[in-house]
Parts: sequence; structure tokens; C-alpha cells
Amino acid sequence: MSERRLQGVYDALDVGNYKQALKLCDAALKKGDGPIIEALKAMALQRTGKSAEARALALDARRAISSPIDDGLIHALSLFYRAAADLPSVCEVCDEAFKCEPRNEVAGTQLFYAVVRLFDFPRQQTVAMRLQRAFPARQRQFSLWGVTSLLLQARPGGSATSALAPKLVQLATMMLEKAGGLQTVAELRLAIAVAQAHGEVAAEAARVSALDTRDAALEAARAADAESARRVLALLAANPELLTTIAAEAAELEATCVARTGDAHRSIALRESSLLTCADENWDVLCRFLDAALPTDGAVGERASAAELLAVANRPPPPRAPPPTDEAEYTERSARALAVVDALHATQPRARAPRLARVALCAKRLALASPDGAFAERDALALELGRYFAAYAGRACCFEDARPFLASLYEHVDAARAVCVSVEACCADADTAPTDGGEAATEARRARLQMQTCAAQWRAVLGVGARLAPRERAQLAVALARGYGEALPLGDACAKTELQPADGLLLCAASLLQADGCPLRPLAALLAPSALPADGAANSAARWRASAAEARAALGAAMALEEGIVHSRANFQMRLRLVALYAALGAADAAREHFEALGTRRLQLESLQYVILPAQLALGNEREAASACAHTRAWYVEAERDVSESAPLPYQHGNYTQALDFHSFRARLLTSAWRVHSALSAALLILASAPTDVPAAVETLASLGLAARARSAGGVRALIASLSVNLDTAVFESYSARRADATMRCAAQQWLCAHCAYAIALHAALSALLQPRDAAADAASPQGALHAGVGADSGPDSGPDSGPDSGPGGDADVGVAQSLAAAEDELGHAAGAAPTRPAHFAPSMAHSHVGLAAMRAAATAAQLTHARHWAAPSADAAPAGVGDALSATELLAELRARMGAWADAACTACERARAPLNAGPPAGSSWAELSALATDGGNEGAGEDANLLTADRFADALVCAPPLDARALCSLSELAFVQLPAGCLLAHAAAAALSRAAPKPGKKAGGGGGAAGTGAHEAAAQLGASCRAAVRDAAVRVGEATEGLARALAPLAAGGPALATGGEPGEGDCVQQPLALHVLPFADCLLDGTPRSAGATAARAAMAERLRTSYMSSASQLHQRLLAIGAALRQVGRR
Amino acid sequence: MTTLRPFEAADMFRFNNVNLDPLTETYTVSFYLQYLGRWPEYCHMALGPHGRPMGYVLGKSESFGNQPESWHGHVTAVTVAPEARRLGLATQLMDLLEYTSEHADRCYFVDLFVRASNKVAVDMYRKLGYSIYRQVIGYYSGEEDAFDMRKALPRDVHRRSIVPLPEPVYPSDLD
Repeated sequence: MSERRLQGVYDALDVGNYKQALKLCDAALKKGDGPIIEALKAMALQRTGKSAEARALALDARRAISSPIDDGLIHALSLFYRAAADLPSVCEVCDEAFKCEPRNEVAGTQLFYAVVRLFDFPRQQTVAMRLQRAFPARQRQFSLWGVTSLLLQARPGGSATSALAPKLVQLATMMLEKAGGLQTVAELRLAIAVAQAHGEVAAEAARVSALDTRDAALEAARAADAESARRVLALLAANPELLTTIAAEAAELEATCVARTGDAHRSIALRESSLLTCADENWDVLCRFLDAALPTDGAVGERASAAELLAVANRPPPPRAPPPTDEAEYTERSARALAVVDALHATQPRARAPRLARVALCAKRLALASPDGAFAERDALALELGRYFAAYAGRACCFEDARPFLASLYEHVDAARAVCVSVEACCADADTAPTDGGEAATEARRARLQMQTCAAQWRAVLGVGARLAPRERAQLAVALARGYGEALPLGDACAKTELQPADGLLLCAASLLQADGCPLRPLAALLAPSALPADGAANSAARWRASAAEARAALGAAMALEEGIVHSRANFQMRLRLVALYAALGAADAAREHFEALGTRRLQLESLQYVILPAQLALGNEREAASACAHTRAWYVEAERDVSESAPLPYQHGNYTQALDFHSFRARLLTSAWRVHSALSAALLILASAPTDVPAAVETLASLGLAARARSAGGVRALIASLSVNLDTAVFESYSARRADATMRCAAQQWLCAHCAYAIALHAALSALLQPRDAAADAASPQGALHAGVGADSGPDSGPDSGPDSGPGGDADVGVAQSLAAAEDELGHAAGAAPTRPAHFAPSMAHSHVGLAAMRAAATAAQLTHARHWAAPSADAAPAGVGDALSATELLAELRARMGAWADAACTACERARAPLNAGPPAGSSWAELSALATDGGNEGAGEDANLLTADRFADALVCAPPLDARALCSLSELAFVQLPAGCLLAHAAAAALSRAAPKPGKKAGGGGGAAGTGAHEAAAQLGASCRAAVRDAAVRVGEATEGLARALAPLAAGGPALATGGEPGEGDCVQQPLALHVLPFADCLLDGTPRSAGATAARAAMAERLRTSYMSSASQLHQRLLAIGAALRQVGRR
Repeated sequence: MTTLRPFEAADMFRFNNVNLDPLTETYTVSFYLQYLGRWPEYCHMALGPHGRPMGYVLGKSESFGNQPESWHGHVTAVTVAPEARRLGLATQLMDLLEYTSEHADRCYFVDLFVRASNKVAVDMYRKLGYSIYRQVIGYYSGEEDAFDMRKALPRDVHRRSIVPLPEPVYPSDLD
């Protein structure tokens, strides 16, 4: 066919004119043009949504693949299937082409790339070897493709078993040797990776092998590691010509490998030499030298990332030089290290690294010191930190450099005070230093400002602010804000895209205003569910003591930052802080505006959306939350496709080890906690808006696919490890001024644990709830897909259809039980890891408790499904589940006990949640009456429906007690967003399980039956019927209660009188008026009552308006939401 | 005081403190992967003492058509976090890219595009030895001009690659 006609079709497709493309294709087909036009037409049909027709056409076109190959046809078909995300079919097309012409190198390489896109490593190895045999001229290249494929299989996390992996690495080594000498740096990197894999796979094999003791396994792993290090050293020695462009990297690798072979002293000498001869300052090399010289016996230092912390927890530490055994050796090593650092300082007098190394050395000595000697070492550390401040406080990096070391002194008040004294002395000296006029004076003022900022940051990390009384803290904040105002002229010449030099002062002021060093007592925390343990620290509701002072402080911080943003629009730290502040204050719209102003791209959905999505979910912005979830989920699909499409690049360009990086990146995407979180949130949003639309929710969850495999404890840990690094940036950004870094890492870990547990729990609950009645019939349904996902990591024989009678209750029960154990394990780990749980994480922790509660119920429901087998025993089909041992009566009792326990916890927490509200407002106010009514409701209903009764009573009370204020709004949210869906979930789970447990009379199951079975049928049917009746009843009541809540909310949604009032607030007014109205007077106080600029005045007005509309918007959405839930639940009840 | 290491794909999830800067572009996943798959030796990440990203450079080597003397290194992105500025980090990253261009690929010059309005960046590049080779009208979404700045490497003995063009060009004129 003519090129011109073909180009016309391609052009039409490129510009999205599919009608034109179809028209051209039809015309060409009439003229007898061949299969390539069919393929292109299929593409056009696909893009117009006619998938079935498109696939049929593509299949027709595929039949025409024959020798000689039409490259255009193969290309068009590949494009079609890639656009349809059907990569296996691309492989088939390429395979068919290569079979037609086995001497066609292009066809062969295309087949290899198609397999690479699938990340099917064994198959790509096979294809690489086929190519190697078929095309001797390019044997070397194809051999290296094969080596890479082997390496990808053998590495931990690859597809090979631990028994097979060593053989694959051995094969890769032989292939490398056969390929001849290494020619490029990329080939050397590949060879090093293979050499290192020897140690990795041997260590992995040792760990999983049945060695008698852990010590033996550890010893075997270390021996393998040493052997692997020797292989790497041999490679480095054999290829000196390749090392010239990577000299520093090679030197570091050599020193590391020498240490791994057990020659610690030579390793230290190598590092020392490398340090003293290298002109550039390299902090990592310096730290490794210090680590080698003064090892702290495997302890994880401050520099360790969260991933490293977890790695240490899960695996034995790598071999290291032994710590000093006696005082003399310690003194000698320490003195030697100091001498090297000082020598470095002498050769690089302007470099920061040697000076910071002195600080690091002190920190190491402190870590190694005995309790008696710790005081002196701590003083020495404080002294070095003071010197570092004196040298570098004029630079913005001074704070970030020293932060980990400062954080280590947080708990040691005396040492922290000593550092502060040095800092103050430096600042005082700088203040009294004479300055000339002109440019030099301006520079001096800038340096002084930077020093002030740095001092404030240091004080914050040392815990000075947290130890002050609230009033003193506020005074300090005002002083910093004043300093900011005075320094603003220094930034007059700054471009709009630059940060103001004084921004740091304002951020510190905002931090100080946040009570107890926490961002604030978040309203969002009040949205935590009631199913919390009796733990005062974790009870987020109890944290909310909404005194007017706290509310004003939080809003004051927001106000100050709003003014800062007027002058420094590019300051993302301010915006992130504002997002968190507004989210916690319940002003979702305001939070969203600042988030949008950050200008984040889709790629950043993964790493930044956590800032805004929880707030949207908690504050009722469901439409936006759903949209955000949809965008995130779409991005994951897109990113996975991008990785697949890019996967051949490392092979095409000979950068073999990049294939390993791409594979790790893909694994990271597939196990992303945020991916799971967004899918679960989407599912919950569906359930919340339409409680009966369970299939849609399940379809959302089914999209998780591989992510669902992360249910095992190990999987979750890996997942957490991969995600923790994210938070090094994101979470630490928000909490930079708080506590030790290690504590924050722990907190981040907990946050992730909680979310993972939440994800796991809900996944398990829903999957148990939705087990298909007939696995075979439902295999193709979303439920079936989910079911398959649940069983995915249970082993090859544990799929949903693994047995002739493996109906509901089989493998999924095992999955649920495993999930339950894993989630409880993780949650226990999260709760026990750090006793000082930051308040900000409380909602997440609480969510996980709800998830667990739901899961417990689901697990019980799963157990109930065993009643079927109990009722109709069959020797060859009965699963060995826990339910076998329980009678129906016992099962019911278990269910009641579990639900009752959950409800009791809910009730207790409800009561506790309301207690501070009772204490807060003046006696006799409408709010007090309301709270009392609600509390009474909670006390009365200490049974399985207690939470529903509370909702019911609370709704009644609300109807009678307008006007609402912000806290009432929160309480409404608490009930509406957390309790109701969780309660419904439980009820649904019980009803569904019981109905499955009660086969229809007369139907025989599994060939069993008989008198005992009939009795069991009746018992199960009776249980099911009574549970269904209870659910119906509960649904009606919850529906009515919810509609009551919605009615109560209507005035606020319409902008009722509470929003229209203003004036000077009194201490008790907070409960009568929206919080937004408190901000302006306080902000005036903060800034001496005198707006500094027209911009600041405008910012205040804008903020007041934003808060007002934001609250109204939230109220309105809540109102709509509650109406919908109420109506849906009543519908359920009527059925 | 940094640790320089190869840019890894997972760095896409870590560089927010660098990329939230308004003048730093955040690209798509496929864009980054293309650079990491094809030119990994031109992509480096700088980490601070605590492992936090301080800045990075992304680049590549290419030529214009079949002109052998047009083989050059290209700076696609070089950026530094606000707290790590004025420490010479950008210079360090640029040195690294120039070293790779000169020694690994034997390039004749290194070039880059910068917003004409970004005076701070233009001045910095001048200090590093770059000069304006040409102005590209409407290079940034048709709204802003770019300067194509170049620095000759030792292989360009006669420094032909940096002789400035007398007239501005349009994006369509670019090779």
C-alpha cells in the first residue's frame, strides 16, 4: 500500500481525529489494502471505545503475520496492544514474527524488548540466549542481556527461589567470563553487581535454610559476603583502565570490600588515604571513615534512614570492624581519627566537612561512653556544636547540618542549655559588631539575620520552646514575628521566585505558637473513631481542649504565615505548614487553596498528597477527596505503564545495572502504601455515599492487584521500609522543629504501620464480606478478582479454586486469619515502638483500630462460614479451619462477644470524647445540655448497638439545640464519618456470613447431610434470619439518626446566624461562635495591632473570608452526605 | 559538604524539598526514566549530611544531525534546595557533568537553556564560564525567551562552538 495513505492514517491518529482515521482506513480496505490497515483501524476503534470490535480486527491482522515480515504491521499491532495495556499480546505478536523469520535480528530484539516490558525475567533470559545463539555477530551484547536477566531473577526480591538463586548467579558469572574482558564502565558495574549478588543470595539462602542456630546462619552469611567482597576487589584490580572516570566511587568500593573481607585496619587506612588525597569534601566518605575508626557495635546512628532502621531490625547487621576492646585502643583510635579530621581541616580550611566531622566524632564518643563518662562527652559535643555555630551560623545550611546532633541533646537539658549559651554569645557578639554603611552594612545585616534564624531553629530542636510556658512561648513568637517585620526590607530586591531572607524567623514563630510543640490540637483529631483503647495519649478526642487561647494561637500561626506568604509567594514550607494548620482547623477549602498554590505535578501525588487527602476525607470534602483518589489511582496506572515502556532502555543503551534500578522502582510503585491508601479511601467513599454499592467498592480494591500481596508481616515491613524514605522529606518538613530525628522516624514508621494495618484490615474485612457464593461462577467478577488477590500469596495450592469443594471459608479464611495476625502484629509493633506517640498521628492510629475492629468482625464472619462444612461434613473437603471446632451457638456467642467488645470500646471512647466538652462550656448552655444527652446515650447503650444509640440520641439532641458551632460540627463528623460506616460494615459482614452459612433447605452440600445436618441448617438459618432482622432494624434507626443529623446541620450549611456574629470574643465564646471569628483580634495582637502593609490587611480579610466559606462548604457537604447516608440506610432497612 | 551519588529512579519520590521551588520543573516518570536509562552517567544527586536531597543535575550527550563537531553535553536540569544555596553546590554538579562530557564522551562543548528573565541563573552560568550563544524567542511555552548558553571544552580547540549567533532564533530553528 502507498506510504502516503499510511501516513494519512497515522497523522489522523496522532492528532486524535479518529473519525478521519476510520474513514481513511475504510477507504484503503475497500481498495484492497492489507492487514496493516486493519491494525490501524483497530487502533482507531480502540480509541473510540469499541474495544471488542478492535480486538477482533487486530486478531484478523495478526493472522497475516508471515515471512517476509511486514515491519509496519508488527509495529502497528504492537502499538495497538500497548495502547490497550495488553503487553502479553505484544509478546505474542513479536514471537509469531520471530518464528516466521528466526534469522531476523530486528524481530528477535523486538521480542526481547516486549518480554522486558513484562518484567518476566526467566523468559527474557530465554530469549536473550536464543538471540545469542542465532546472531553470533552480536553474541557479546545478547550475552550481557542474559546476564542482566539472570541477575534480576536471582537478586533478593527477584523471581527465583533461594535455592535456585545461587545457581543463577553462578551461571551469570560464567557467562561474563565467557564474554571476555570488560570493555566499559557499565559492563564493570554489571560484573560488580553479579559479584555482589553472590554474597546476597548466599546470605539469603543461609537465612532461610534450616541451620541449627541463628549464629550459624549469620556466620554463613558473613562468609559468603566476604567471598563476594573478594570477587569485587579482584574485578577492581583487573580493570584499572575503567576506573579513571569513577575513581572516587571505586576507592570507596575498595575500602568497603576490604572491610567486608575482615581486614578492618587496612580499610581504615584506605579511607584515611582517600580522604587526605581527595580535593573535594565528601561527607559520606568522611562518615564511613569515622564509622570504620570508631564503630559503635552495630548501633544505628543518627544518619540512618528509616529504611536502614528497618533493615537493621529485620536483618543481621553487616560485618564491621570490632569496637575498641580496651581503653588504650579506644584512645588511640579516637586520637587517630581526630588527627585525620584536623589534617583535613588544615588542607581544606574553608570546608565545613572537617568541622562537622569534629562534631560527629564527639557524638560517636558519646555513643561509646560509659554512663559515668557520658556527661563529659556530652559537654564536649555541646562545645563543638557551639564552635560550629560560631563558624557557620551565617549560612542557611548550618541548621540542617547540625540538626541530628542537636536532636540527640533534646532530652539533656544541661547540654542543650550549654549549646544555647554559646549560641546567645555568638548572637550578642554579632549584634555589637560595628558595621559601616552601604553594601557591606546590608551584607552584615543579612548575615546577622541568618544567625538569628539559625539560633531560633537550633533552640527549637534543642527543645527550648517546648519547655517554655505557653505565655513565654507566645512572647518569644511575637518577638520573632517582630524581628521578621523589621527584616523585611532586606528582601526588597528579591525576585518573586526567591525566598525572603527573614522567612525562617516567621516559620519559627509559627512553630512556637503551636502548643506543646505539636502543630496544634487538631479538629481533625476529633474525627477519630470511638473504637480506641483506654489510652489517654491515643485518645485524640481527649486531646481537644478547645480553649480560646489554643484556637487563637493556631489561628495566629496561620495568620502570621499568611502574611509571610504575601511577601514570599514561593515559600513552600510556609504553604505546607498552612495546609496542615487549615486542615486541622477544619478549613478544608483554605487548605486546598494553599495545596494547589504549591503547583504540584502528578508525579508528586505519591509523595505529597498525604498533606491534603486525609483532611479532605475527614472534613467532608468528599467530591474533592474522590477526585484526588481517582487522580492518584490513575497516576499509578500511568506510572506503571511508563516503567514498562522505559524498561528496554537500559538494554538498548548498554546501561545494564539501570535495569535493576528500574525493577526496584517498579516494585516500589506496586507496593506503595499510598496506592493502597488511595484505593481504600476511594472504596470507603463509595460505601459512604452508597452503603449498598459494595461491588463498586470491591472493584476499586481489586485494582490493587499486587499491592494486596503486601498483607504478610514481611511484606508490610518491606512496604513500610520503601515508603519511609519518602517521609524523610515530607514528614520531616512539617515537623522540623520537633524532637529528635530518630523519634520522628519512629513516628513516621508508626504512621505508615497504622495506615498499612488500616489498609490490610479493611481489605481483609471486605474480602471476607464479599466471598463469592459460587467461586466458579464469580471467578470473572470483581469479587472473584479480589478473591484471587487475597489468595495470591498463600502458596501455589491455595487459590480460590484449589479444591473441589473449596467454597467460601477455605483459603480466604486462611488469608483473613493471616491478615488479622499480621495487622495485629504490625499495630502492636506500631503502638509499642515508641511510647511517645505524636498527637498528629493519633487519627491514623485510630483509623487502624477501626480497621482492626472491622477485621475482627470479618474474621468472625469468615469463621462462621465454616458452619456450612460443619453442617454438611465431607471427609475430603472440610477445611482445617478454626471454625471446625466451634458449634453454631459458640460461633454466635463469639460474634456477639466480638461485636459487643467493639461496641463497648466505642461507647467508652464516646463517653471520654464528650467529657472535655462537658467541662468546656459554661454550665447551663445549650451545648452542655447537648453533650449531656449524647453522653447519656453512650452510657445507656453498652451493648452491640451502643454506637447506633449514641448517634440516635445525639441526633435528637442536635435537632433541639441549635445553633451549632465548630465543635458540634466535629462531633457530627465523628459520628457520620467513622462510626456509621464501620457499624454498617460490621452488620453487613455478619448478615452476609450468616446467610452463606445457611444453605437452602433440601439442598445437599458436599454429599453430606443427614439429621445432624438438617438441624444445623435450621440453626444457621435461624441465626441468619435474626441477624438480618437486627441489621434491618439497625439500618432504619441509623438512617433516621443520620437524617436527624443532617437536619440539624442544615442551618450551618445555609450560613446560619452563628456565622454572622462577630465582635470581641470572651473566654467562653469559643463554643458559641465559629473559630474563624477569633483570629483577627489575636492576629492584631501578634503584630502589635498595626498592620504592616496593605498586603497584610488584605491577607487578614481574605483569611477571614476563606475560613467562613470553608466552614460553610464543609457544613454543606456534610449535610448532603448525611442525607444520602440516611436515605440509603433506610432503604437497606426496608428490604 | 555533600555526598554525590548517581540519581536513582526512586529519587523521584524524595526530591520535593528541591522541586517545590517555582523555577524547578517536575517532569513525568517516563521523562526521568528516559534519562536514567540512556544517560545515567549524566544524572547525579547531591545529599546533605543527613541524607536529605540538596540538589541534582540531569543531563545527556547528543549531537546535531551528522555534524561530528556538534557532539556536546547538555544540562537538562540543575537545581539546588533553598537551604543549600550559596554553597557552591551547583558549581560542583556542573563540574561533574562537564567532566563526564569531556572524559566519557569526548564532547566539544556543554550547553544549556535558561529563562532570559532568570538573571540569578544567567549570572551564575557566566561565572562558570558559559556565554550566550543565541537567544531563542518564545522557547518557554511561547511566553518567554531562553538563552542558549555554551561553554567550550578542551576538544574544541578553536572554540568555534561558542561563537554567538548575531540574531535570535525561534524554537523551530533549533536542531
